[in-house]
Amino acid sequence: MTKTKAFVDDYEEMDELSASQDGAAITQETHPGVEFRSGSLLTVDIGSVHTRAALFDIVEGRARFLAAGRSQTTAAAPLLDASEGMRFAMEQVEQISGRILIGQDGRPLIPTTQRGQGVDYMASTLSVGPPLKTVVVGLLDKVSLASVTNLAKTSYTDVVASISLNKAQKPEEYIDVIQRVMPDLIMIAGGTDSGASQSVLRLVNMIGMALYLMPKENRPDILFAGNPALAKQVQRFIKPLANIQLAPNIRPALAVERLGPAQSILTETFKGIHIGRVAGIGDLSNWSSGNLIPTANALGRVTRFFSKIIPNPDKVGVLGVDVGASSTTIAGSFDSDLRLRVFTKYGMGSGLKGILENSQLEDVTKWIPGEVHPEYILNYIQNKIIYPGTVPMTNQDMYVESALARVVLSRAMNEALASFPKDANRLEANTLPTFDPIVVSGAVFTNSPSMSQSMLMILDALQPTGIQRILLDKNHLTPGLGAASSVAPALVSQLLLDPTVLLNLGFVISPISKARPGSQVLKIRIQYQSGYETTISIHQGNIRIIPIPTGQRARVYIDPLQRANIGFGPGKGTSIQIVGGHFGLVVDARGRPLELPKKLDTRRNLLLKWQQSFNRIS
Amino acid sequence: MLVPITHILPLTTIERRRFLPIEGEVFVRAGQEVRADEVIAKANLFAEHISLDLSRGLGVPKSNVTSYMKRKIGENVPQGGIIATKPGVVSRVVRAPKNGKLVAVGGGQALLQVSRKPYELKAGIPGTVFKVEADIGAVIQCTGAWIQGIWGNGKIGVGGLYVSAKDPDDILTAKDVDPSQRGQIMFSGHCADPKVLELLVTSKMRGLILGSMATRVMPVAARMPYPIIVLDGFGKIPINAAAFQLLSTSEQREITLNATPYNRHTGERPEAIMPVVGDVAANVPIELTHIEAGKQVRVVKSPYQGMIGTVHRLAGLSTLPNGLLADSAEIAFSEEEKVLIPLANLEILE
Repeated sequence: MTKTKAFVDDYEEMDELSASQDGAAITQETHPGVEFRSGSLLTVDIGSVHTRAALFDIVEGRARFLAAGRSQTTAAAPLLDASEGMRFAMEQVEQISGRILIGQDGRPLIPTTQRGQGVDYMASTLSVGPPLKTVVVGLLDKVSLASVTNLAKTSYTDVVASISLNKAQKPEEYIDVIQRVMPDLIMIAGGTDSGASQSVLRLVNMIGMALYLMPKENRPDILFAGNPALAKQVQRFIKPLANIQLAPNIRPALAVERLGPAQSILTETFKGIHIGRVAGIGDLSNWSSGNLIPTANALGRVTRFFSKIIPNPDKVGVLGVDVGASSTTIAGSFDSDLRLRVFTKYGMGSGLKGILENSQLEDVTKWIPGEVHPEYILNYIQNKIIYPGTVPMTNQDMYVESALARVVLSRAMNEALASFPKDANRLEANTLPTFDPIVVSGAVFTNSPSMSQSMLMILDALQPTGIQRILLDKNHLTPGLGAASSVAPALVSQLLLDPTVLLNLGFVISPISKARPGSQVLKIRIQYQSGYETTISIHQGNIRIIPIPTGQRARVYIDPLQRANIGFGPGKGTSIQIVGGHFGLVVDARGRPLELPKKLDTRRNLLLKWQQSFNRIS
Repeated sequence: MLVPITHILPLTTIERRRFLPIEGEVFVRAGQEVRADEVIAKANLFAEHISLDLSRGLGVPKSNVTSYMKRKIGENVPQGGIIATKPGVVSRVVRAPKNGKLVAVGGGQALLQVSRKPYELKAGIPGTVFKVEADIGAVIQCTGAWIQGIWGNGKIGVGGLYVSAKDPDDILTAKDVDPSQRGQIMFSGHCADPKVLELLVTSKMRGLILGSMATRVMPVAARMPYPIIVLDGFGKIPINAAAFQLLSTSEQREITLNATPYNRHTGERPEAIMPVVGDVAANVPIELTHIEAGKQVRVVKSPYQGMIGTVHRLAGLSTLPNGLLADSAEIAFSEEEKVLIPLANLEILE
């Protein structure tokens, strides 16, 4: 052992930590007037398939998750009103919790009444509806256009056209493009701080002309995130034509891209467009006192929140992933620097179109341990695009669904890697940086038949490196908590560390090693809380589950052999104190990148062997 | 719990709002009978623009251009028509390069909007214009049999119904293409051969209703000039019993296919309509209902995809054969055969 590293991983300790930091806010308060705010929270998430509601409150001095309800989202036809789905989901929460949440006027009761009805806070998220058709406009392809495209990728957008000076097209051709694609949003960047102005104004003029020529009711919203010296002038010019939002410059200097401040403006723009487009969203925003944000941004907030509340001496990042029906979100937080990517082309429903267009069928079939005809997979995908909410009933369909989940998440993750900081803690180039924790959300993981299938899907798709714990958002609670983090941070910090909110699947150790398959790469000694001690050898190519009962502590000494790297350099070991989760400790020595045998039978046997490694536990 | 509805109804009254995406010209009036493939409105949706440098053409400063204009904004200009002129010993003239409309003048330039082929909005269903929305479109009502599909190639067509499917497991092959049925709309089972779709072009069929289709056939189906709708899904799926019963007993009836793509957000779906002639009273279809015992449902996921059954009981959260937990219902396909199926995999059949 060359280095000792203490992971602060004890949920109880963390609860105490967060309570001591923010205790005043979560204890009972008496406000002026008659309000009695206990700290209860109602969250609502409107997804493309389901609408979910959840209730949290302080019970015996601790923040607790009390109940969750789910309904079909009703924003689409025939109702075309999200309210019904919200009401059904909230009524389920009422039934489960025995607490009245909705008043006779159909509105949630906020704040809590003297009789204990209603809640103190409400926060909401949404990802419903088709992505915003977006035109991005910048001066140069590799500078402002690249940055404004990156900004678009932080939300539920579909970039339908790109306009820049590089493209050397006539202005009227751009006007025609804008009229033809009928965008919901045009995002304009260009000019560093005190930089280019005339060329930016020429672009804005052209956009203005396009807007002028469009019927008023069809005009898109405009977001300007370019040279701030021009902002007021641009606003004066565009405002009579269309809604315009001004955001801080996303490219303040040639070599600096700063998306964060503009992201919050984009969030507001997204919300505004949806309030105008989907009935019921405006009410939800009012009930939430403005705490309505896109689901992806909420996941981003959760990862950033974790990076703030968990001591992190080694500056490893926090990763959040959410695989939905119509999109996949990847949020990496590096010492509070959030890198968010929303992939509207990858998802488990309509998002499978992106898999059909961007992947080979072999990418899917290689993960299937049984005999499934490739044509069956194609048909499965097409049916799932039409019926995104359907669930597999047979083992064969479960194999296909799980394989698709691996492809969806790994493709999104691989594309998101480019957005992570260059100095992120990587064991090797082109591997996933080391994160702790990794928060995983999405029905395909939370509703799988067993936790072992969920865990294996996550490991296969993400291929983590180093040492980290995997937290599963079993009840899809992170979006609401992310949205609530701005109004009830103390409550949220307690809840995020509560294992009933985020299920601790276990600690994963993933060494990188060039050792031959079968040769020993790690020696692991475990001292259990009971005093029992055991030593385990880990061989290259294997995956090993070492049970540590939930809630029990153990100290784990990891000794890499043959220059295997677990995050501290080749051959350098460490010791960690961990608290048992669903799987305790998982050692994934299958190698990075994970390479599957080409021979069909060998591959299938290996997939089944890996699955069986987990099945002994779950 | 709310569950989506699919309609397969022998007699109902349906109403369609057929509106242009932007304002245009509407050609129908209330009370008028229309065919599904009849154009009811047009709009200049995808106009092209030509920028004309007046300052350069006239040889005058940008700020002086407006005083030489011969046309007003909004005015139509024929090809070769004078837009601006500067008189003098050697007069200078700027002419319209194409027929168009002058839409803007500024900065020494003029913008001419040149019309391309206008966007044409078809009625989509046969029926009577119930209401006209000025410059936007019309609401059309129709009474008849109505069958909703799940995939369509975007085309619209009308013809007599030619029933090729002998049973729900029917497979469409080249042998089924009967040139004597030209001008008809063909009803068949499963299509796995894109060449058959090409054959239907040469035999001048006006449309195709399929129970199911192989996904690899989809690109070919998408570009066929005639409408194609798929009723039950992708892969080899038997035609659902309700649609088979209704269509197979309607040989030679006039049928309209509006193969509009399925849009979950707007609720638009591909559909087949067989109108009835004369004043016939019919109920308006239910668009929303809760699932409960006794309801007729269609399964939309394998291994029972396309099968129609009755809700025997709501089973609540149940474990499926693959271990998955799902809110489910016990569906009776017959007296003897009852199967547990997740609610997410069901549609109510009305």
